[in-house]
Amino acid sequence: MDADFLANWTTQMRKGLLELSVLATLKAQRMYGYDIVKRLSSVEGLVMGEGTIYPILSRFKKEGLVETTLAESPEGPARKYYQLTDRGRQLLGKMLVSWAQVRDGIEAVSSTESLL
Amino acid sequence: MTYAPTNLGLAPDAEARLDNYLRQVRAALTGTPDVSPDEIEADIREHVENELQTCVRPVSLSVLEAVLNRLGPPTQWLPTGRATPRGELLSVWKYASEQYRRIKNTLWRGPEDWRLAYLAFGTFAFGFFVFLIGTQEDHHSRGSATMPLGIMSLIVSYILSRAGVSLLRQNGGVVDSARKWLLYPPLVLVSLVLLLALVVSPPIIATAGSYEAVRHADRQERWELAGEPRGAHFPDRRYLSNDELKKQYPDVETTLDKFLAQLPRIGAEPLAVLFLFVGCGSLWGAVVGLLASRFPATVRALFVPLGNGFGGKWAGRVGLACFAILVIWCGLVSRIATDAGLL
Repeated sequence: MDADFLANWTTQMRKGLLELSVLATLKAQRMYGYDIVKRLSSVEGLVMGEGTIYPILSRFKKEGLVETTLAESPEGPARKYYQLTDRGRQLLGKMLVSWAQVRDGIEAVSSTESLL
Repeated sequence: MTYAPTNLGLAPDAEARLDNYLRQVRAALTGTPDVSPDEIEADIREHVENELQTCVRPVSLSVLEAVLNRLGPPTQWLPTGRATPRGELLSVWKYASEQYRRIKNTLWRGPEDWRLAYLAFGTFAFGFFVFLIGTQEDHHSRGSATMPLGIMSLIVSYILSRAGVSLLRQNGGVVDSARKWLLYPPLVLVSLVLLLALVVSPPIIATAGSYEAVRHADRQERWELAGEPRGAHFPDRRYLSNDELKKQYPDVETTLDKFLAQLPRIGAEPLAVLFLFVGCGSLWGAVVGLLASRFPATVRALFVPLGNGFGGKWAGRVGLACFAILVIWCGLVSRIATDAGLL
């Protein structure tokens, strides 16, 4: 029972955070799709299947939050790079503020209330 | 500039596996307007290409499988922001039409393992309802044609389900919960019928047959011991029943009478039938248990999916237990027969 609840809760939490993480990864620079996947997969407990990131990127592109450019690669065929659009950058800023509020709020609650 | 897919240098079985995986991804994304399946497919190909960059060519299936495992099962590929069917954004009508479109696309363009699953379930549902209608109808009119149609459809659905499960296994996939609901009903139904036909019914039929044979032999013996009565004494010249003979000739004692006399007087005959059933059941149980322990793979193949976890050891133990019961049973028969003066 507890295990099921925890698994469900973790999945739900991870889903929301993964979208924020994808946008945050592109904050500083444009990135190759495969590199985004590898960077996020290295974060412990964030990515369950590497494949789940590609549909997010596809949806963000359709929603105008990211855009893609193809660039020649010395290692093989052209690579597709993702970068934030202005709209995506603005939304990321708001999401980060919102996330910081939630995170700080939870930390404040858990530091003042006894959990035992 | 556009992205051009390159030859990944996969071995034939790995190539087939990747194609199947991509088809499953497409099927999972069908009816999802907020993503582009073409783009995602290209992304996966790029991803696989990057992962396999340093691998020896041709890339084997096991190496590719490790990459696909890290990507995750295609059924989890729905975008995280997609509204759930029960969500407030989707009306019931929109949800129903989306499901209809998804099933239609799967049936016409989807991967074979999904198509087979839907076809198997559709044929099963059709066969089941036709069979039910057949049982309600007058068997002398339309019912006689409806029942066979229902049974034929159920058999076809079983074959389709078996093919669906085999295809999934062949492609290295697993029967996920959605496909279990589509593929398993015909398999479970046929497995239960087979279980009844092969394991449960033979001892019942044998008991009934033996009971009839013993009764017939008993009546014949009683009739002969009574002096084969018929003719003038019985004007209609008909043969007397066993009960009539018992009434007419109470002093006549047959072999069965001697045997039953060794059992408790109240309920001797039902007890004898039960005793007979135990004998038939233990004999059949020993035979089936021995065969099943010797050929567990056949049992698993015959009773998919109920027998998936079947092991020969368990069947061997049941067979041995039945054999032990049979030995005790034979000992009891011998004892009763001796006490009755029959041996």
